[in-house]
Amino acid sequence: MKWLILFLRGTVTVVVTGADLERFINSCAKANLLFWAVDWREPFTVALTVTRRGVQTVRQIGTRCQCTVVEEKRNGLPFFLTRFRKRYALLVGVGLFILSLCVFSRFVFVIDVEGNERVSSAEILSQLRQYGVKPGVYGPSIDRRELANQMLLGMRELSFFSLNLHGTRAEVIVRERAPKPELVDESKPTNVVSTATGIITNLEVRKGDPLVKKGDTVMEGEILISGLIDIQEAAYSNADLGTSLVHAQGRVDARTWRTLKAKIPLLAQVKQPTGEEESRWAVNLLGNRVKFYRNGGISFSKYDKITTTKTWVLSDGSILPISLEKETFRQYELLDEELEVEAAEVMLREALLNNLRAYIGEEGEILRTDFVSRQVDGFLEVTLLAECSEQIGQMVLLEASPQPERLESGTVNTQ
Amino acid sequence: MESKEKRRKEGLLEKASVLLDLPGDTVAGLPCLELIGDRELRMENYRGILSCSKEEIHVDGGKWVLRIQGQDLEIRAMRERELLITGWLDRIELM
Repeated sequence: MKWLILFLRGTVTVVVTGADLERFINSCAKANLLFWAVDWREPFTVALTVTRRGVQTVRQIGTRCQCTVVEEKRNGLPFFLTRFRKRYALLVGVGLFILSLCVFSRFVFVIDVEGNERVSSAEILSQLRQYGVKPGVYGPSIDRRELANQMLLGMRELSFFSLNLHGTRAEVIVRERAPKPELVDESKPTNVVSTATGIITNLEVRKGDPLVKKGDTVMEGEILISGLIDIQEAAYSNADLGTSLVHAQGRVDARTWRTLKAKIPLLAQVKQPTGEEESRWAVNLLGNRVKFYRNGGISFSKYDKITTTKTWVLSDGSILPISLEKETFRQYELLDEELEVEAAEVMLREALLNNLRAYIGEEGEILRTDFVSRQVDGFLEVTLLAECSEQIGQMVLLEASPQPERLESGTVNTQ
Repeated sequence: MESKEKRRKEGLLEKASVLLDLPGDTVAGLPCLELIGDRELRMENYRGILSCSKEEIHVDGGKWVLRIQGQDLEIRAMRERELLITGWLDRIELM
């Protein structure tokens, strides 16, 4: 610590020559001068180190004691900086640097979003940009309370919004609103209809009149549970109580057989790079794109555009608001090439299975699969025959679904 | 008898400090020496340096002179009332 203070204050080693050096040293001590490292080099020569400000006093004492004082060595920051006293351009540069540091530290360069899970950071940043908050904005000009109100009104998914400024970094903290549960309007009458043809293996009726039973074969679109209930009269009564409309609910599991087909041409056009390519450079600074090329077309008729963006990341993980963009246009030709049948078949099989899983849903189960492949008219066609177990009941509004025959006849009887 | 003649004369404040059992350096301004090992000597209330070399330093203590002998002696720091001498100290003598 001592050396640092001395370095900052600056020290000078002086060599004093004279007949009465003891008097000189005693005078220095009496003058309360700070000096140290007294080195008696010769009988009439002594070297000592004083602070930068003490040199003048040493000279005065030396004159008084009839001694010669010569500066031998200068150390410390003040002497280092004195070297640059005449270098005006450097001083101007340092001044501009400090000024720019003071000015630019008031601007926002980086915006970090925290606390979002369902809403993407890009959406939040895009919304912020609409309200004028983007990299390069003057930090103190942001009305944070007003911005929070606007953001909460603009993005209904958010329940809390806060923006904190940490120098050039704006920290956005959000909390998302809990999603509303899906409400089923039970006041509207519905039927449960079949979404696929199959044999019913399980039937759970929660509301409504079941029109089928376990083991029945049903067709796609057929009503399984009716929302039109015939009200049962008392055994001794002749009065007809009519029907009642309800919101039919229930679960119907069935074994289904699905057939899915997919085909792909065996002769495909593939891209063959010609080796010709053009590159364009641009710099993205605070959201403003500076292009280093003229607005001209690309001479290639067919080309791939590959964009590479180089960004710089600080040690704390934040990305600087400057990026270098390189667009490469790579010319290619289309060549006809035959596909590998085996690879294509594997690809189609995978695609068909994915489609089947989408049809039967997460609860459905694939019991058995058979694939048939054949080549027809330059195409590879793969057919999937699958046996599945799935839930086939789907609620449909009563107006939209076909009326059950049995109840229709019953309704006629009541009229 | 001879030792009494050699003994230097004590001042009034010095006597008072002895009688009243008060610290002499504070009351009478007597020199105070502090020796740390054989490498460092601190001295307060000195009057001045009489002579100085790497082997021997003479310090004026008022009524007597302190002779410090050793090797590579150096006046490390010096203020109006304080003195710090470093080096290999061999002998300290009051003259």
